[in-house]
Amino acid sequence: MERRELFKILGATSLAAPALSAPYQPKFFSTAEASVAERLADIILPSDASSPGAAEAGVLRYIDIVLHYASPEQKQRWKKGLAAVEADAQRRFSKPFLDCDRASQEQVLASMAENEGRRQDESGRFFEALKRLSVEAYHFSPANWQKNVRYAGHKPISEFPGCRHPNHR
Amino acid sequence: MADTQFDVCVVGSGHGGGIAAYALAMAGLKVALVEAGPRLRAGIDFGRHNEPYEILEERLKAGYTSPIESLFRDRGERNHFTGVGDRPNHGLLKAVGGRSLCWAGHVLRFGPLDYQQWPMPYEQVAPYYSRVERFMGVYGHKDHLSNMPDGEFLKNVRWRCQESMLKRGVERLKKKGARMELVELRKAMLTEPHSSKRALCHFCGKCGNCCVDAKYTAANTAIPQGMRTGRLTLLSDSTMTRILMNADETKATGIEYTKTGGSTHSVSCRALVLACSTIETARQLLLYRSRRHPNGLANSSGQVGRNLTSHFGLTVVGHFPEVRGRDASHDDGTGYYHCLLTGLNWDKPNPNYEGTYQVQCGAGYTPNTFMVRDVPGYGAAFKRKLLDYNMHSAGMNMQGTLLSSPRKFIDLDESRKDRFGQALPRVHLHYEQNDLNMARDMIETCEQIIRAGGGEVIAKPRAATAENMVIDYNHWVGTARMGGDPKTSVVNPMGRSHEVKNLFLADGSVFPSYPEKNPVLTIAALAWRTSDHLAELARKGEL
Repeated sequence: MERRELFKILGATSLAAPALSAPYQPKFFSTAEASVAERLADIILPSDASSPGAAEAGVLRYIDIVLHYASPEQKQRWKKGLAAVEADAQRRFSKPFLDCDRASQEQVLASMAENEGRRQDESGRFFEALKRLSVEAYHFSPANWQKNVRYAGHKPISEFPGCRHPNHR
Repeated sequence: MADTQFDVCVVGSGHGGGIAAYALAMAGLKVALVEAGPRLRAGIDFGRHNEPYEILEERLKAGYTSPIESLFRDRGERNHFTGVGDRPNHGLLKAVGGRSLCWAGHVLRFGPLDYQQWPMPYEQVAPYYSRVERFMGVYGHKDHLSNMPDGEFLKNVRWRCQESMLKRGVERLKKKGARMELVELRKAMLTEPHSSKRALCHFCGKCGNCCVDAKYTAANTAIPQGMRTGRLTLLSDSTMTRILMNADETKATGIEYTKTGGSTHSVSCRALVLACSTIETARQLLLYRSRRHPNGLANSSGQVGRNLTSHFGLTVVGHFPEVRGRDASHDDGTGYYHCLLTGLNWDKPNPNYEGTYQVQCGAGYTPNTFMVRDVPGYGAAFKRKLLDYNMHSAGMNMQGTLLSSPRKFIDLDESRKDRFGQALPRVHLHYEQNDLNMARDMIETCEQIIRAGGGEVIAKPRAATAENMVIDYNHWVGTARMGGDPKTSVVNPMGRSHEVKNLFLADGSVFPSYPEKNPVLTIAALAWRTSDHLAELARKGEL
């Protein structure tokens, strides 16, 4: 294949990237659930001075699509888990999760994350599922690649530079 | 009417069949190459520079469990086998080029020590290794190792900073007496212009389905070059359904095949070469049943389906704070793995287990969440830690040989049939204590190297148990082993059936034993050697 054709393929690919500006219509979550899930993911991976958080990175779309094609057990874990988050917010703060301030929302997540890795109850398992999928979605997001990792791959190069640090010996 | 008379019929167009068809056509023989799958075009039917977030829905819709699951896994033939025991797996790729389309490109010669357990010495295969390397276009670095000989290399590809840390660890352990080597990996990808005129590698890292054919496949080099002789006919979308034999069943006379549309045809040949891959070749031989061949074709030894083995492995990840601040903007390279830990147990066997392993080592920012699986917590500090681990870690992926044992074999599952009503294969696999002992040593060795290199271990299997180990479903070999004695082997050292004199095998099924190294280069070298032998017999009129 000619280099010219290669550039054509690369160009076409970047155009094919989804338009992240349009609001995403969830397939698995209800509108309210989607907002709760997005906020939970954003508490796990918040924005900071150097890089965007999960919400800005658009993880909602990724998580929603994965769950749309997931097993009935996984789907149920998420539906129940989000309902439990809502119930916990009502119990502690007497208002819906999304109406709570960020510090209160963080308290709800903190109680699910307690004893992470050693908890076998449904709330602990939901936290693990939530964290894993949030991390995966963020990891794959263009925002992470471009603004967090500052990765510039997929530009054809003729020679791989590799490590040339004399001190890396 | 289509031509149906050929000198040789080769079944299967992967690494073995592709090279065999090319070599036979070059030797002047008229060859039919029969392939069950369709033609797939690089960069069009597979291999685009797509990221997981772009292809997520398309892939999940198609039944894959994640967007990074291999595009080619069991294409069109899910659940092709029945598994018995410890999580066996079987990867088939029905397409022109077979699994050469999706291989990682690693090309490692088996060495003189490995050939001590084979019916011929290394020196007899060495010229074929050279031929295959020149033909494929293989990059590498000459390392002068005792049991992984150097080849005919194009310009080498360097490793990344994190991998330098592993090299440092290995060199420090060697000074304390450890016997091991960390070297650059050798791959069948073009780093310099090559006679095949394929495009040069542009280091995008998506080698599993290379979009520009910089990586060798049978479909981009062997088959088109064979067809250029005018003597090779490719029959794609054609599944072999029966081996045809002469009246007294001493010789193969051809095969019957069914086109994807459903029509049935046959080809006649003077010699038949099976290269359907280890499990499928054995299955085809076992499917043939008659009074003269009650245990299957070419199987009076009873060895067809036996001696099955593969590679298995584990992954350990190390984090190296020292490489913080490096430029990660072009980490892709020729895929995750740029170096290889080898030379383990070569000259001195480990007292706790038989056999050995190698470790493919890699780094770079890849779609891989394994290394952050066990990081606790959440929030800003957690997010910084994820980035740090992703950017400054190196992964060590071990590949050891499963001990060959009577409990590892394939047979036919009469309760499950393919669409032609023929029994599917059943893969029996049970880890032996030897395998678990080796796994324990693998983990310990990698941990030592990471620490000696100044790093910390951030991910490893919780224990060396079957649940944590992975069988390489592309590396099966050994179901029709070669040997000098017809009572204990299926084919002779040239790949020719002891029993059916015009039947030849040209894939991993003929391996009589299996070192830790990747199988492809040896499969291709043996296929070329078998084809030369076949052509010689044809010239002498001895088929």
